[in-house]
Amino acid sequence: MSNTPFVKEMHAYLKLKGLSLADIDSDYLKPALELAKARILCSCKRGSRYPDNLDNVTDLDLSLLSYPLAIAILAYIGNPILTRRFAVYEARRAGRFLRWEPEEKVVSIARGTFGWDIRRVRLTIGKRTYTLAIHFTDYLSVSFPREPHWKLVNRIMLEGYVLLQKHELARLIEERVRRNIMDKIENAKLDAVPKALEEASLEILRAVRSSGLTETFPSERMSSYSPQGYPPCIAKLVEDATAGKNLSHTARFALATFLLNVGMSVDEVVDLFRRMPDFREEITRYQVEHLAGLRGSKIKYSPPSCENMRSAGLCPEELKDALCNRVRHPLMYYYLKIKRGITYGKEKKPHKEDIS
Amino acid sequence: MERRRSLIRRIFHEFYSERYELIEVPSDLPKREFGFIFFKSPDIMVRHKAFNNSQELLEFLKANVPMHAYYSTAHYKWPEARSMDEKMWLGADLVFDIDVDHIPTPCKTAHDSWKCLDCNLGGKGMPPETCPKCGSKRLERDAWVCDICLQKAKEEVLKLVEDFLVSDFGFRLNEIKVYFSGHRGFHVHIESEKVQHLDSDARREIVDYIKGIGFRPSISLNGDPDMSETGWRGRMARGVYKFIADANADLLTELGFKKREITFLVTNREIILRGLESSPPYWGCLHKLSKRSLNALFDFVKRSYAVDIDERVTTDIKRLIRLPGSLHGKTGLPVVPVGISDIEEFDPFSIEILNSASSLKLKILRKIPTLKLGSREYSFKVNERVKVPFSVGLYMACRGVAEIVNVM
Ligand code: SF4
Ligand SMILES: [Zn+2]
Ligand SMILES: [Zn+2]
Repeated sequence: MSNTPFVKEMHAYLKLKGLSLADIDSDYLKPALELAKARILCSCKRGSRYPDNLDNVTDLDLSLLSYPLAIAILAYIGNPILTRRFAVYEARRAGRFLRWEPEEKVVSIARGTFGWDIRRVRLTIGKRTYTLAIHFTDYLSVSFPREPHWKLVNRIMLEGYVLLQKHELARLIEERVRRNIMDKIENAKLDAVPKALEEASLEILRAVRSSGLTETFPSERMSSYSPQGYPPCIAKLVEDATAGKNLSHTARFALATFLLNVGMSVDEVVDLFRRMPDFREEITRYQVEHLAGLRGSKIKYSPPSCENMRSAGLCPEELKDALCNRVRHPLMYYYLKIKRGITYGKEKKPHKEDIS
Repeated sequence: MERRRSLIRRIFHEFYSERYELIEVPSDLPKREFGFIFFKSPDIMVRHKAFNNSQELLEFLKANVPMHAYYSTAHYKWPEARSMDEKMWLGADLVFDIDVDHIPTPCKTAHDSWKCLDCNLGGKGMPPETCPKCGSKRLERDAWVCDICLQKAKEEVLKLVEDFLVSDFGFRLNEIKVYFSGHRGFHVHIESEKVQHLDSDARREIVDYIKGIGFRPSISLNGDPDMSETGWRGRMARGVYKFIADANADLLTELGFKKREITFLVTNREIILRGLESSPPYWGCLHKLSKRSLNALFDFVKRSYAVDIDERVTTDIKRLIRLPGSLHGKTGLPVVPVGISDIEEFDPFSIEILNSASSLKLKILRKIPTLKLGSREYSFKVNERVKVPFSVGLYMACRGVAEIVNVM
């Protein structure tokens, strides 16, 4: 059970213990917090495995409890890249174990935990033998980049059911777990953050920075940026910059780091500052390259969190929308909006194209 | 102009007072958003309307006489809210739009035309992407309904419903509702609980399946498919069989087959066919063809089975779609349900619009192409006064090419 920490039973288990985040400083939870930190750090390194002492934790409580703590820490950090790495890593780990479980177990998790409509069949079509079928609506509820053989058009569908092999169902579950973890982290509500948790978060950030871990996954950043995803604060800064308003140092830092993080090139960012009253190409370029991690420290900088934006007077209260209330970081806003295609903005004038 | 429009509006008014039984009130009515376009300002859509019950909706239609009436395929917690996140999306019906607008039909060169608004260049048939002379995208198109076009749309609907929605996706016929769109095609609605929560990406996968987008023979046809199989494998097997059986040198050349390959196919036709129909089937002979030719063959077969649906409609989970039973303001034709078994005979011009009138006297104002509407062919001369069936007359009047002289 501890290897598949997403199952419903686990939540029940935690409740049973009557534990909450407030107890984090207790001696009982301390080891679990350590474990949570280790889990997160592990997930940042590509190809790394859990250290032995993690994979072999025999204390079931410890292993189970570390999971919600890890989620709380990541929610507090609010860095989408760390979040995703963790989700992918944990989901993959769960998937690995599932592959060894008997088919019955895999099916019962799919049905029980996710409510999927799954049938057991035995059909040989072409060169493959299928033992399972999932209703196409459940199949499509798992969304991930569809490599050709996962595209519906290349699947065999019989009267609404997509044929699957056991390892494929395990893979679907894995994707769903990943999504669930991300949702949990992104939607976690942290009212009062205990000191221990804050410290753990800082520790992780420091570790990530100093080891340059963020550089191990630069290619996973979005390759092309889309302005529709900019949060109000950034949209406003872009507007001001284009209009040639003089921006404060913090504003420039926030704008440049944000745009670099969503995939804008150094040239494009430099161009954006061209209208500044004090624009000097070489200087600006040098600074932007520095922020992009191309110079000196080789650290790629992240834009300030919403809280820091607010205290720097860069969060435009009057322009904030519903999505703003759910995020703690402008990048998270962007990430949510682009990734999920959610429109939270003001409604545009209806377009003839919208109707048929 | 004003007078003409007000006469049309009067007919619409009578329609909504007399024939309101045609209005099909959407399921879950209070959770739907409505949008309307009125005669007084045909460029503005009034949105974010909602109705608590069918009575309210019918009264509204009668009192306000919309030129176009739409409702949301989505259900919302607060359909009247003005922004999407306040509305709170709860789910959406799965809808498909088949419209001959996007499908080239042979008759289009006879009745459709386009004009560039920037340089006045014009032409027959479907408009090009951009003006060939000045590159402008502002092309005005003059499009007409015709029986041949509608036949094409009906074939596509049958393929969509029977081959895809029923046999592959497993929907029951009574879950699938087909409506004439009021212009050049049909809308297919599925309201089942199961589809409500599909997001836009999921709907795109459904579209891709139906259009055969992303189909990879190397994956799907792995292990020679049998003609009795269902889904794309079966379709491809039957299509390839038919293709080989009918193949002639002209088509093969057009698809880019080499001389050597054409000779191979023609001389070995029987052997290849026997392989395809044997059990288990044997496709080995086909692999004598070059990869390029084989892919051209598969692509040709795939296109003959794929259905030409408008993906924007299916993937948009916040879309407004025409209200069944309402009149289409640009054609005067009613949006009506069509049974799948009756679709072949369906003729939108045979639907009675008003109980009280059966024909119209028109004065023709502009050139109208010769058109086959229902079972009859119509051709008019400018300035001529003619008596025509009511729906044909209303159609011409709504298109702005004729003036109603008399209601009879
Ligand atoms: S809440 Fe955050 S994302 Fe939204 S405008 Fe303020 S700083 Fe930007
Ligand atoms: Zn032109
Ligand atoms: Zn036609």
